[in-house]
Amino acid sequence: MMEYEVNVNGQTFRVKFTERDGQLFVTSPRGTFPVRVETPLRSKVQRVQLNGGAATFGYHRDKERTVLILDGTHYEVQVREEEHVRFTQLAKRPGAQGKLDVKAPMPGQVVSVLVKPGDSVRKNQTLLFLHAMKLENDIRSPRDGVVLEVPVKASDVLEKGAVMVRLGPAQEKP
Amino acid sequence: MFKKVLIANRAEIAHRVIRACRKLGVASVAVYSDADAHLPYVSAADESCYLGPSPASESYLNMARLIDLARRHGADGIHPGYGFLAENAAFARLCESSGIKFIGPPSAAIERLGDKRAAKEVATRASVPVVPWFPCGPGEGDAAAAKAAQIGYPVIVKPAAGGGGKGMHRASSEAELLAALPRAGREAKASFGDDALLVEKFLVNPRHIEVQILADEHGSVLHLFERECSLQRRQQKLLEETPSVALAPAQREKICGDAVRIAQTAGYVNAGTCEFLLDTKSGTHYFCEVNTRLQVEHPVTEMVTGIDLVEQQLRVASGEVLSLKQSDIRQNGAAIEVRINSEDPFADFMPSLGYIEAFQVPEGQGVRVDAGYAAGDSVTPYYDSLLAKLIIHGKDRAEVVQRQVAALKQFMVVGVATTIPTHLAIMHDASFLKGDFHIHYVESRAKDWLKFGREEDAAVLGALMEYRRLLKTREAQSRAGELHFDPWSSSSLPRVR
Repeated sequence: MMEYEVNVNGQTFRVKFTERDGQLFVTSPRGTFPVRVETPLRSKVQRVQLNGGAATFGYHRDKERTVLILDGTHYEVQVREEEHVRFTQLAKRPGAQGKLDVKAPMPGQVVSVLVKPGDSVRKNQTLLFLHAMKLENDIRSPRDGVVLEVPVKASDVLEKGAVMVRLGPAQEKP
Repeated sequence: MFKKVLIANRAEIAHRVIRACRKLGVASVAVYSDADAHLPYVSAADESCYLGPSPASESYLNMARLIDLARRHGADGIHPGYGFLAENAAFARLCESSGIKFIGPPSAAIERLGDKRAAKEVATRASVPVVPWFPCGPGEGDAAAAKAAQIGYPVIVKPAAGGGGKGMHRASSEAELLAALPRAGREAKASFGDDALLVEKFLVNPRHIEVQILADEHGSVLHLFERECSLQRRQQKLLEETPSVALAPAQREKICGDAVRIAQTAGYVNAGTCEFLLDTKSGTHYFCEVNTRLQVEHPVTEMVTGIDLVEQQLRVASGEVLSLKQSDIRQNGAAIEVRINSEDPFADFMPSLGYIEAFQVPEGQGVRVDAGYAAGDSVTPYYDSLLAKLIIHGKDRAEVVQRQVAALKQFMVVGVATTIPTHLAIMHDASFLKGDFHIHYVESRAKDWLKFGREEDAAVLGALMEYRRLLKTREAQSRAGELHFDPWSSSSLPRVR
């Protein structure tokens, strides 16, 4: 399953993809429908069977933007993975309280862990290094807090979304 | 008939002229700048030759080089298209003196009609109304008030010298006129060193109607009816149609007759267009100017009359007598042309430059596409933004609009933004559909009508593309085995703890 938050012309939509028995389904506010793709990914003009009807659209993606051309008009779309959205939202919230799980944003292998239970961490402090897509990614704390638990260790191989660090509320400053 | 014609232009109009040449068995020579070397028209011509660097001043405006190339290729005619040198009397003269036929009017006619005041004199001699006006000094309020009462308010006070909107004041009453004159005089003096003024009738939201003229060298002048081009943006036409919904049969006859008399009076030859402003309030049309060339929007006339205007241009220029008679020329059905420009209607029509990844043109009954570009071409900053013209013919306006909607939705340009969304908006606009619009209408609507309501579909399809990219990346990674495991078969993944 994969979930996205998509912004189109100032409107935001949640779009989820699931596969059952080799069939892809898409869920949007309108409902859940089967999807069948008819064109290769690299094609600039795409044809997709969506809920029994065909949609033909132009697709342009460059560094700055992604544009869909559908029924003669242009739609600029911003697609973000739902996990990423939640992560950044939490990170943005100042002084967020309560517990927070820091999850693997992508699959990978733990290189080293820099914190242990009981440590106080600051927002943006590096918690651990995760090796993924040929790179070592530093995983930073989304906010101030205290490390409650570290369920992973160096050389662990993680799925996307695996909990790496559990954070508790930041300690009150004396 | 010509043996070989050099086309001193580029993109869609060059291609259009090549097609007419081929139809008549005339060989064609295309010229191209650095930026245009790969455009479709270059390979469509029988011969092609390099003209010069990309800036127009070093290529498509280089008269001496064009004449030289025409000579070297043995061309006996030059077709200027529109824009660039099409209305340049000096170029027409250079062709004439070089023994190469300029496929357009004689240089003298271009000169005469190119001067706006001389053109107005021609119209007056031909008894065609021009926008009423009179000269006036800043201190001559009483005389001005008397004359203004005759031509009717509102009027506009302008400096006789200069332009650019300085010292221009609109007056809706005698009191406003009396107040405006001294002020306009002071501003005119300050801006142009001359306080001479003129007062002209101000047309509120007029319509742009033009008449296609065709004349041969033997004294025959025909009209091919009108085109309405009121939908413009910053004086740039966006959409043209024929017949105009604003003309009743009697007025159509009158305006077309006026255009023919202007052409006769001016000694005009070849294809040309008389432009008029139609004052919707009074129903009066006023002469503006003559375009001494083929117009961008000529195809709507071709669709409705069935006459190939470029073919007629070539025939007339080679000295043939027009074989058409006025009574043979009929308006059959209706046609609308929309200009597909590489501009972003969501960003105030900013030019959109870049590589065209896909370019799929619509097909269907009554559909004609005159395109200058294809997939794989680049839109460069050197020339105008016209990518293609979508021209549709049908039995009546309603059918044409319906076909336009279908065709616009099929027209797929990927890589650069286009004006297609604007045209779709126009095709759904209630005032446009009723025929109720004027030359400022698009500007009054440009911001609020580009909503099409398929945001959720766009979101689903955009996310789908992202999802497919993700799957592909995963697949590539798992094939490469870089991570020494297959994280994508998910739950069965052994965890090494």
